[in-house]
Order: sequence, then C-alpha cells, then structure tokens
Amino acid sequence: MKQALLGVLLAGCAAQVPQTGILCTAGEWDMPPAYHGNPWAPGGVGVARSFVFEGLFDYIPQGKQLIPRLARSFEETPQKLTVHLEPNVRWHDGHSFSSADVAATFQVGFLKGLEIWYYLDHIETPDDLTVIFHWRRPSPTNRLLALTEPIVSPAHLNQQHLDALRGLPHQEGERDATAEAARRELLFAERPPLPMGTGPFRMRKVTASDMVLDRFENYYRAEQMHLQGVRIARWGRNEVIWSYLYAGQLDAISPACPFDVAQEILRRNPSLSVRKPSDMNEMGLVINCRDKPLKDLSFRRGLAYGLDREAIRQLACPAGDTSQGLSLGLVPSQAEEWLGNQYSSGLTRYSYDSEKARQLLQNAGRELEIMAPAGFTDLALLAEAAASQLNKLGVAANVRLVQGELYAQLMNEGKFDIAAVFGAQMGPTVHPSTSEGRFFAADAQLEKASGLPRSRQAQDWVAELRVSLDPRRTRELTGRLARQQNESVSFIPCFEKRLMVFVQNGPRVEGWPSEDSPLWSAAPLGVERLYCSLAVQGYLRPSK
Amino acid sequence: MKRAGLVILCTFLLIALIGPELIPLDGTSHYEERFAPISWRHWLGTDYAGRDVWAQLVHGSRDILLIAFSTGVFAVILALLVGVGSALIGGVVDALLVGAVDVFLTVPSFPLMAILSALFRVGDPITFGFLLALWSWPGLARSLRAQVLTMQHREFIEVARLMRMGSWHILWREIFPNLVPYLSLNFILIARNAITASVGIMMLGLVPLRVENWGMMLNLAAFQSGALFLPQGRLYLLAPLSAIILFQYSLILVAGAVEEYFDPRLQRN
Repeated sequence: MKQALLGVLLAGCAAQVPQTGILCTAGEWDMPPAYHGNPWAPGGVGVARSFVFEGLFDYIPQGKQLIPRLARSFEETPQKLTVHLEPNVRWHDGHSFSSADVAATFQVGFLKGLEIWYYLDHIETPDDLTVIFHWRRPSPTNRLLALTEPIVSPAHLNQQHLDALRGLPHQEGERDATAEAARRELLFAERPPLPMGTGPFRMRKVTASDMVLDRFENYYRAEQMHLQGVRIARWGRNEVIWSYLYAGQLDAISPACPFDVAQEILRRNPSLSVRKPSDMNEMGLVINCRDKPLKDLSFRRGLAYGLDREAIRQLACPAGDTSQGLSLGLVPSQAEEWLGNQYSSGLTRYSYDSEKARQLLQNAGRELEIMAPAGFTDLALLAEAAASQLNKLGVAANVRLVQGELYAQLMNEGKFDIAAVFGAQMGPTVHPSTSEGRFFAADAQLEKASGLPRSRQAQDWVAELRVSLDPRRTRELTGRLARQQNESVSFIPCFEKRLMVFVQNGPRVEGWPSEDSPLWSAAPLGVERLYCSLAVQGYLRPSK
Repeated sequence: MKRAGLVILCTFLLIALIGPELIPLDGTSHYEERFAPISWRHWLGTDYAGRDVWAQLVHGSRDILLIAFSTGVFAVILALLVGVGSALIGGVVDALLVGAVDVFLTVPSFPLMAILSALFRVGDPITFGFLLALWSWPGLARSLRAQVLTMQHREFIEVARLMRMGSWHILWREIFPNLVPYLSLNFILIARNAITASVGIMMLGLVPLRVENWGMMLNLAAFQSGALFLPQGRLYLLAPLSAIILFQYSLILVAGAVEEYFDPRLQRN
C-alpha cells in the first residue's frame, strides 16, 4: 500500500518536470483573465511573441548576417525592396501564409506607430509569394525594419481593419489623428484568447504561472527543428530566477545577476554556462541642466570627472564594460565602427580625477537627488554608488527610487536633479541614427529631460543621418553629434551593459552555440527570439 | 526578563544616540572587500559593496528608532483620540468619526503613497513616522471604540458614575488603565510594521533611499544583492535581521512590564 502511494506521488512529481526536448525558460505576461492574444493591444501575448510569431529574416548584428525565416531571399534598389517568401508556410489555424499577410501586418502596424512608416510609401504584393516595399525615404535602416518585423496579422482575420484603414493618409502633415485613434480603438478591442502565428511553436495554454507551447507540426522547417515544445515560467523577480537556476529548472535565461551569485549558480550547477553579449545599450546619469548648480557646465564637468565609473560598474553591472569617459551618443563598442579608430581625438575625455572634480564641484549650494526607477536593480545600484561617491567628494547627494510611469513623467517635466537611465541604445537597427536620436531627434527624451535648449541644427543632422546612404557623410554627421553630446555633459555614461545569458546543456536541451559565436550578438534584439531562432536553425536538440 | 528588555532597549537608544558620532560610515564602495567575514576592522563583516555592516547598523539605528517610535506614538494618539472620543461622545460625532475611520481603512495606501511621492519629499524620520502612522491608526481606533463602548456598561464604571466621579476621572483612572496593555501591544505591532513599511515607502520614492535603514539592509541582502544565495553573504543578511528581532523583543518585554505596572492583578502575582 505504501509503495503504491509512493508510486502515485512520484508519478505526480514526474509529470511536473518537463521532458527532454522541451526548452524551459522564463518570461513576463499578463496573468489570465487579463491575458489575450492580440499582439497589437496593450498587455497580452507577452513573451510568447518570440515563439509564436516570426519575421521574414533573423538578423545577426555581428557580421550583419540575415538568416531566412518566412522569406527566402530579397533584392533591393535605393527605391524598393523586393522580398521572396517561403512557400508552404501555414498559420497555426491551417490557413496558407502569403504576401497579403506581410502587407496586412505593416498596414495594421501603422496604427501602432511602426517606425518603418517614416520611410515607407506603400507595399505592393504582385503575387502570393512576393512583397515589394516602395520607399518614400531610402535609408540604411529601412531594410532591417522591413525584414525583421514579426509578421503578426493574418490578412484573413484582419479584413475589417484593412478595410477601415483604406484611404487613411499615411504621410506626415496629412495624417488624421482622430480617424487613426478610432481605428486603433477598434484594433485594441479584439481579444482572442491566445495568439496565433506562423512560428515553430503554438500556444497550448497559459496560466498565472506557466505558458505551455507545443511544436507546430505543420511548420515549414519542421524537419530541421528538433525541439518538442517550450515551457515558460513566469518571471516574477530576479531572485526567483536565481532559485530556478540553482535547481537546474531553466535551460536559458538572462536575468540581472550580481557577480557572486552568478559564480555560485555556476558552481552549484555545472551544466550551466554564461554568454555575455553586449546589450547594445549604455547606462548612466542624465542631468537636469535647468537649475543651479547643474546649470553650470563646469559643475557638470566636475560630476563627470568625479565619478569612478569602474567602481559603479562593478556594483551595478559586473558583466558590463566600463565607460571610458566619453559620451558619444553611441554604444562604446560601436564607436570605432561608426566614427573610425581616431574617434576620441579632439573630444574632452572625462576620466576619473577626484582632485579636478573637487575643484569644479565647490559650492553646490544644496543637496542633489539622484532618481532611479524602482525595480531596476542595476540602475538603482548605479544611482546609489554615484550618490555615495559624490558625498565623499563633498557634494551632498541622496537617492530616490520612483515607480516606472511616474519616473518617465518626472523626467519629461524636468522634476529631478540627476536620473539613472539608459543612454545610447542601438537596437534594433544597430545604427547611430537610433542612438543619437535618443539625444537629439525632435522627440528626443534625453535632451528634453536635460532641459538644454533644443538644437535645430542637431535635429537636422539626426534627420539626415536617418536617411544618409553615404558612409562618409554618415561618419561625419555621427561625429558632429558625438562632439555636441560629449561637450554638453548632459549625460554621464557609466558602462555598456552586457547581458548574462545562462544556458544549460542539461537534461532537456543541448546544443547551445559557444561563447564566441556571432549568433549571440542577436541577443539584445530579443533574447527569446534568439532561442527560437536557434531552435529553428537546428542548433538546439533534445538531450541524449 | 522585563529588565533584560529595558537593558536591550536602552542599549539600542545609546547606540542611536552616540554611536554615529563614534563610528564613521564610509558609504563608498570597496568592491574587492565585499562580503568580508568578521574581523577586527569589520565587526560584522561587509556588505555587497564592501561597506562595514556594523557601521551601517549603528547609523541606521537612529532613523529606525525614530521612525518606529514616532509611528507608534502618532498612530496610538490618533487612534486614542478618534476611537475613545467617538465612543464617549456618541451621536453625530461618533457617526462622523466612524465614517472617517472607514474611509481610512478602505483607501488603498499604496497608490495614494505613489501619488504623494510625486508631490512631496519627506526628509526627516519624524515626518516619515507621521506618514506611516496615517495608515496604521484606523484599525486600532475601531478596536478602542468597541472596547470603550463595552467598558461603559461594566459594573466598575457604573459604580464610578453612581459615586458621581467626573468624566475625566472615569476616563483616566477607570477606562485608560484598562486600555494600556492593549495599547502597548499595538504600539509594538505598529512600530514593527513601520520598519518593514519604511522599505515600501523608500521603494515608492516618497523618502530618500538609505542603505543603512535596517529594513532596506534586509531587503538589499535578501533580494537585490543576492546575499541570501551566498554562504559568505549570510552575515550581511543576519545582522539587520537580528537587530530587528532584538529591538522588537525588547519592545515586547517592555510592553509586558508596562502591562504589569498598570494591572494590579499582575502586580500581586
């Protein structure tokens, strides 16, 4: 009797442990009943997006490689991009995939403000397997925007939205905000219970704690793909993820993780290893230059000299790369590529120099407050380390944590002294126009937060950079913007963030690419998307 | 044991009073010394940034004691005024006060604090304590009102009334001593909750973040810095935890002594 009971108990436990061939990871989503499958509406879909939907190509930044997914090939001229689609692709509901679905996604996506519409004039679908993007503004980034956008709107289910969009002007200056808002409301009102795509995995169920996705048997590359499904645990907090990793229950995950905890996890679970690709973003401190003492350039320079970025990086992002005292509006690892190897010549380098800082930081006149977003461990630790360093330099400073939405509001309204933020961010186009745009574009959040007078000239440079096809001109414009950003000292970069992607060649899945593989450079564009891409390419296999 | 409580509490008060003057706190990080073990230089080791844990405890004690005490005092005074007042006065005033209590009980504190954090900055621990007290008194006020209403019909109050004792006499000499044990227990509970609630308020941004706040130390140790997961980090986790436990235990013992002082039956035993 006892043995029978034990057997039942063990069988119950065994059912909880995913079998071999199931990739286990973690992510975020709205808990049911709020969960829905509309990829455009707020909330919903969540982390499943990367497994259920896919783009025309996968992009690997290192080597600028494009790996075919829904498309086989493309050709382009400055005016148009012609994409040839993969035949025999099916949506999860059995409908055939065609060029109409690609067009539908971009057309519906106009309501959601897809960046591509800045460049795009119209989309042509001469046959079921050909899509032609006609550009209004040829640019170096439009190809990536078209080829990597997930195709999420099947034409056969979105006909009413496509009809409603017909005749709606797309060009700036002619747009009808009221009509767009009405159509957006209609789009957001749809609430299918689960998302439906063309991807290699289809949703089976979602609960408050788990997402279960099964292999899509009619997937067009099914013979190449070895995994049987994906199980996703709800993220919750970083500590929960560390516990999962301790227990070996996750095969791939990228949490923020202190150095010692990472070491301990790796020691306890030898089947785990870490990949550390750049996250293509830079973390630092944006300064509100509206009021004294931060209004004074010399005081801001004092701050830049006074912060020991190496000490900050060690605390806040042990896997990251310390910023070398330049604020270029670019991710440091990309500086040489876009500015050449002499990029720092003629620029003031604010290397750590406490003596110089003390001279410049006299007469602060009041206590400074460093704001950090609550819940972002790395930014909070950055702020805390910076505040303690300033206190040691004789500048009274404290840290204030602020909730997410309020944080953005306070930044926009200039109600802060110094704020810990993401500075230069280069995804998803990995182009300087994206990162410089965060500082200088017409709607640039960081320049708005800093309160410095908007530079019409810099806005024009960013606008030109977005469409410049001449590499020399691109470098020249990037250099000018970098100089302006560096000398204004409105942002003090501290480190380039690196992801810590834990992968496990363990009991369920194996075949993760080695650390030096260029594939990992795609992680900042969506790490779950990369896991899925590795599954589709056949890298990931059930463990033997 | 009651004396032990007083001794522990006095020790904490002494540490809070003169400790920060004697023991300097270096807030900057010394990464290579993180999670250092106990040594002559670091009596309780170091934290995730290589800062001295003992110095943090000492410097945090002043704020923590002030916050805990002021929250308890403000909450008890508010509850006494509203709870006892409404029970004794009755009528429209009672209805109004009970309505106010219900409003405070039902208004969700978290979103309200988030809004307040956008409007105000709270700098000193006394104001911080008052803020925490605003959400701590309503439950106690309701209980006190119920107790006083029940007590009003007990024999000893009836006797006091028949003997034409004044309202003040009945309130302070007859009713109040019976409330003291309950008040002192609630004072401790409120003070204890204030320590943990202060972390939530810091996370909301209503007050500046202080790494030497015991509650924040515990939060940083258990969650942000991963000390919970590291054998070498256990000391950093245990130090604020032990301090909080000791402080609360001393309050409980002192509350027992207060109860004994006011309850003649306990004195006889």
